[in-house]
Amino acid sequence: MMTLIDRTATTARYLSQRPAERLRIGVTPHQVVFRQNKATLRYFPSTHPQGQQHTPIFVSMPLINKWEVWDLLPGRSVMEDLTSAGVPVYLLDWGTPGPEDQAITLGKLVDDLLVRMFDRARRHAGQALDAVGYCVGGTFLAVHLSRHESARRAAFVCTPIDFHASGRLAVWAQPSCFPVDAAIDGFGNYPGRVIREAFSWLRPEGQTRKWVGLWEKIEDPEFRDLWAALEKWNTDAVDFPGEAYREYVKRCYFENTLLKHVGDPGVWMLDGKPVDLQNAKIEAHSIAADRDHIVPPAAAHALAETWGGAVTTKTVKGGHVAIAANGVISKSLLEWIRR
Amino acid sequence: MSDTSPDLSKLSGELYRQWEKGMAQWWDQVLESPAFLSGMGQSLSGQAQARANYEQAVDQTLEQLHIPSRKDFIRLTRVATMLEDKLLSLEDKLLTMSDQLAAQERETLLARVESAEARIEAREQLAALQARLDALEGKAPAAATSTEPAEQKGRARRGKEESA
Repeated sequence: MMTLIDRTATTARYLSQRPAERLRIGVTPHQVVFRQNKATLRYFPSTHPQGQQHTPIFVSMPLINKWEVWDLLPGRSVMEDLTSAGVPVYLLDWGTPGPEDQAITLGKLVDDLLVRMFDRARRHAGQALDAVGYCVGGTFLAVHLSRHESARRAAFVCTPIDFHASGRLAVWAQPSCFPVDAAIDGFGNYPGRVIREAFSWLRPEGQTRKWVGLWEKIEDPEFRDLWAALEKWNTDAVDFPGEAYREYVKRCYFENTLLKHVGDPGVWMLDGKPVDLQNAKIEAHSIAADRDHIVPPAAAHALAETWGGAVTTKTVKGGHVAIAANGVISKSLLEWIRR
Repeated sequence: MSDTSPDLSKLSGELYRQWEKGMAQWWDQVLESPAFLSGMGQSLSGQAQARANYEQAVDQTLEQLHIPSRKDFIRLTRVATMLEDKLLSLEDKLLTMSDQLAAQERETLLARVESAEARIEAREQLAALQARLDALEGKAPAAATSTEPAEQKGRARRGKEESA
């Protein structure tokens, strides 16, 4: 057993080696099959000994973080789990927008970029795809699928649909206290560091827990690596294209329009066409985490109230990010894929 | 928390949990209070304004020095992005045309296969007919001799009918 002093010294020594900087994340072998502006379509082929076993999936990752959260480390990777089970994966990495991208609208992302990414993935696969969205990547995917027949069926992982059920985030993102216009006019793109800080402050005790957790398990090399990988991913926040963010916050957080349908007052008009999730006729599956403080299960499973096709829901144990690292997402997705 | 003494470890763990619980309750009150929310909004606006002012000042300085400014680079990269968009739209059209051509080629190929099959079938039918004809021709001389008296009778009957 280590003494308090030994433990603290070991932790300090470990941190002084800057483990997050030395670690490489997102190492599952893949190839880039298409690029548009900063967005990249990454193809992870099946690594099953007998080749492809299931329909390929198209994954829409969130814009506010790097995609590597689904590919943190060997043995802690959603990508590795899916491909080893014989599921080829096409992953949409939205990339890091620059100042020149601040005028990109949400319509452009949903009706142009996603359409083209799906098209190229389908051509590459030579067959129809299933779609998976994670967090805000799922929200955009849901809007896209209500307007385009791009996939056979879809799964949404921790995807906010009822934004007013998003807990503290919904309290903060109100027109009275969140000056989104002033922010976008001043910053251009909404800064990733501000988003990261906001997420940290959603649950401040989580910050102390993070350091205490490392201190407690400093002897466990596997835990240390995972800690460093998550730290690396978390500090590498991505800016959100300004105009797209303005529309996203106003329509989703301020007005909660994904629960509205054509004919309702205040329905979301995106590029002159209403956004109505009831127009989506494909089968959908919503996966939520019971301790998710960013997208609580109520916010995610609201999909069942508004989606046009059949919806099944599943609540798993864990938090928003933890379920990506501990294999819960892989397990739930593979269950859905094998249906 | 593991330590030299298990009891001390248990106690420190419990103390930490109590402290964390208390802090969480305190934060809950602070982070959703109107004062905090208002301050957060003002701070964000202030940061955004400061950033915009800074960028404007940098741009003005660079322009005065006749050095390409951030705005110039943004304009340039936007042009590049627009060009990429146009190229991708053309690529989309080419892919759609290629799909249509492939579909037409498939249809043409199918039609050719069908017509070839029809020709083969017609040839087979013709061959079968030819064979039947040959067979009939083979029987014909024998049949001709056996049918001659009957033909003569018929001719005599038709002569009688005409004279009547």
